[in-house]
Amino acid sequence: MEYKATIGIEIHVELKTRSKMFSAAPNTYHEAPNSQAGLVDMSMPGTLPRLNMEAVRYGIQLATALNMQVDRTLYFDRKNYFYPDLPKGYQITQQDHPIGSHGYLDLTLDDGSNFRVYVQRAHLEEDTCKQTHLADVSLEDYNRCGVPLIEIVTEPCISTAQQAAKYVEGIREIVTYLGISDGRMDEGSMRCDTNVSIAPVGSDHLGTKCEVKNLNTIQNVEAAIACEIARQQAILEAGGTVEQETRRYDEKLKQTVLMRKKTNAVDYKYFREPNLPPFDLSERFIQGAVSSMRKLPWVYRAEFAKLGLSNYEVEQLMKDKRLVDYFERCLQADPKDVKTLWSYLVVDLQSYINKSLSQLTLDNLPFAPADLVALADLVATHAINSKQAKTVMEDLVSRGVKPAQSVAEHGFEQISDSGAIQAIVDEVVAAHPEAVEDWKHGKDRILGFLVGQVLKASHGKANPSMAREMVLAKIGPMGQRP
Amino acid sequence: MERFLNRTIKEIHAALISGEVTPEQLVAEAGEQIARDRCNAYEAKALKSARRKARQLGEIKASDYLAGIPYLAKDNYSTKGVETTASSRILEGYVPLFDAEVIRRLSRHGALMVAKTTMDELAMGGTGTTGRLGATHNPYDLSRIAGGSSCGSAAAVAAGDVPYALGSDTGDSVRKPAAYTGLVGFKPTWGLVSRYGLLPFACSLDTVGWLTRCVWDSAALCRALAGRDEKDMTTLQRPKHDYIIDVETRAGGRRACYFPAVIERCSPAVQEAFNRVVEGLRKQGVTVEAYDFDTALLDAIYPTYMVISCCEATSNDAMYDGMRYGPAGSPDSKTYQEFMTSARTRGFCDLIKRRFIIGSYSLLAENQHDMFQRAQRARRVIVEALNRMFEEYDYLVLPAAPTVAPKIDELSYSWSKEPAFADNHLALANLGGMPSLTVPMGFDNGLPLGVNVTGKVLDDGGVLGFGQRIEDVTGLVNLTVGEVR
Repeated sequence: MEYKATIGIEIHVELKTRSKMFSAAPNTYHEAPNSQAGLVDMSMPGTLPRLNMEAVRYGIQLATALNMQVDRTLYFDRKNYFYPDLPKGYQITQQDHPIGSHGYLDLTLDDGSNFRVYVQRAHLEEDTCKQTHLADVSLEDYNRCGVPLIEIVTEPCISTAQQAAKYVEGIREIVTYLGISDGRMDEGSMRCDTNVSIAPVGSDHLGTKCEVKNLNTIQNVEAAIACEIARQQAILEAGGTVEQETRRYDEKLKQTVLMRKKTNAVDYKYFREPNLPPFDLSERFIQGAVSSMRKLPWVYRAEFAKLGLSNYEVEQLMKDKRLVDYFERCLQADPKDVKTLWSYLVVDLQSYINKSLSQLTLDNLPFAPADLVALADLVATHAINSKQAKTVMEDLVSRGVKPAQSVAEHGFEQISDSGAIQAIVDEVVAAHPEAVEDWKHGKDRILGFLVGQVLKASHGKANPSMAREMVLAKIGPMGQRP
Repeated sequence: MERFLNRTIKEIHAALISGEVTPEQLVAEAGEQIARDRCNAYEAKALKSARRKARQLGEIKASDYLAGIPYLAKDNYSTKGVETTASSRILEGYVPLFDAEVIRRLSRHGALMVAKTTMDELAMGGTGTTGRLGATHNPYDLSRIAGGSSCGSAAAVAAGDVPYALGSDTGDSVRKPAAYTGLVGFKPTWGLVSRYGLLPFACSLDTVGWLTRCVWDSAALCRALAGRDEKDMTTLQRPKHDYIIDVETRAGGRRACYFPAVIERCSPAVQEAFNRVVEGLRKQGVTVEAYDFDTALLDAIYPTYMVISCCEATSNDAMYDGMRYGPAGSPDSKTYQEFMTSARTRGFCDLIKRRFIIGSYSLLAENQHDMFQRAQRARRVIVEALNRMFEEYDYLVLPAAPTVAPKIDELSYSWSKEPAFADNHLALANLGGMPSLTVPMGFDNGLPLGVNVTGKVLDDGGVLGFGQRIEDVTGLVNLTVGEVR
């Protein structure tokens, strides 16, 4: 029997706001444990939550990016349960009225096929403490407590592991391009849970779903869902039934393992948070949030394609938002050839940065984007050749020497004066009558030989393409081999 | 030695300005009074810091009515450096790192907090007998309650220990004790005064409140405490307002009503005193008429209040898990559940656990519709009916309690199947977020009786002005117990 899978995904994204969701404590990462928690985060009796409007702004931006309806009034609810990482005994979330609802995201698989993921809701909430379990003790870090989160929940509308991974990658790209989150799955600033069920093809019922939690890389999302589909299919094919469970992906075993059986779901006793009255968002605030949105990935893709970059070139750029930003700054210097610029940025400069022993990044380069453009332009106009360009690049990256100055210092200035080149061509052709004779008899290497002689005679300064054209004009078309 | 703290704020202020007494002498007097307490009114004392602040006070200006005058705070206000337990074992030893906003504002006005007062545990209760230190007694008759939950504040102010005390009011916790102890008790509009630092009972009903010995003093406190606080998102943005002027000019409307169904259910002495107040008001040109409020809605007050307050309380008090403050859970705990359960089992009295269970039950997904949401709907229906009444009348005037303060050994802690709305109607003001003031109206065999006036949301000045009219009628100003019996 053939089966189809039905997959839903929940993603928690930590928002990169300055302060926490409901308190003025700083929202940071990598700080000493429990150094970034305030009275509200520690749930000191009598403290009250205060809404972080920056988080609301980010929520509106994400909802807009996902084509969602934005709720004009904010409501918050309490989700009640006892747990050591939850100091208030409840989490403030948006159960009844998520800030965004009924959206979608269009995506493309590597084979070029398009698919759409329907996003049910996106709601604002607060993070819990970070727990570290040691052998005989558990540690609580309140730094994470109260960090703003947005939870994005899809409809159960995804049908393959590849689609799921592409969707997670799509969300990661959106939040990082919007600048609302680091989107670091390895550091937990983006966390992904998924629900997987399978049913026979043609069946109008969904199978029993299992939740697979804590998928900390995009590769794991794909691998975990693929294993889980295979596991459920094996059970059904053996005549068994899938039980509702919470599982996690074990990277070493390359399979999902049981965390707990879901006998009856926890009742979170939701009710409206009385300390945060319904908050009406002004049209001005919403418009302000939308108009201050940074460019979304698909806007960049369209712009870069319009510039003439290939699909491959675009994707290489898109992998890193910082590269895109740098490329955009370069574009402001009006490069002569975008593909040449792309190559010097994405290939040459990147490999310099990767190889550099000093902590070189795109943010601390000793030169301006316009200087890189100047280098690319020299190459694009054949003012220097690629070998010379390497030297110029070296000067630029290591010492910040401007390309024009570098070219002058090394004497790379090419002769582009057609009269001067013509004189040398005439000399060279006259000095090699036997070569011209061979050319007439179809010896194709002769052209390269003669051009080489011209460049040699000019001490490498003649513009190679001009020299080639002039030699060709002088000796005429190549003859037939006898 | 001449006493000052048994006078009103206004009188003590005059004595300070004239140099008759100094803030330090007032703190010393408060210390002596506290030491003589026979009502069990006190939790932690803060005399040392009060003395220090008294010494540091600069010159008291004529408009600084609160400067240099000692006061008390109910033990559910977070007080920096002073143990705060809300009279619950769950918070024993908890010394907060911050002051509640009202404490901060009073401090800024130069007021001197000398001690914390007992209360029903975590403000849940109306008897003043459930706190960790046992029952608080009424200074007019030690065999009787002072009322709850602000029992210690009421007892101490009535005993003349200080001129005023902070309480908190979720159902009637300031206004009922005020009636039982011959005081003025005010609950402002919900959102007028910051709750930041008030340990919550039921946030949607809780308000800061205060007990004084005259209406003018209550207005002076309202002037000092009202106003938006960025730390409490439920506080309202209002222009600065002088409530003292409202009292001095008897501001507000002149149309009041009462519910005959409530009056009928009061004791003869209460009815008599109430009728005298009504007659007096009428002589002043105030209209006081009977209003036929649906008794089915009056019957609904208690269950509605109970379900909503228990639901919010069970969630609010979930923070007391023995992990961050108060006594820790059992060291023998094998799991976090055991740890939290042991802390909470020891930390709360049985009456509170009953409320938590009712709240928790009412919030379960399968019960929410019939319990919590139904209570929310009932709340809306009741408040809508009140608002219709307020289209015709400016104020609702009723006896604050149907009898004098009950005797401690005659109390029943079982839940009445037929709650008496004459004893519960003060919660109307909490359900609607309205300002509400209790003022003394007479005595029954030497025990005080109170009358309550409730007004429209944000007509706090009018309610205080109307309270002043009642005070004019009764002439009962600055009542204290001569000698605690």
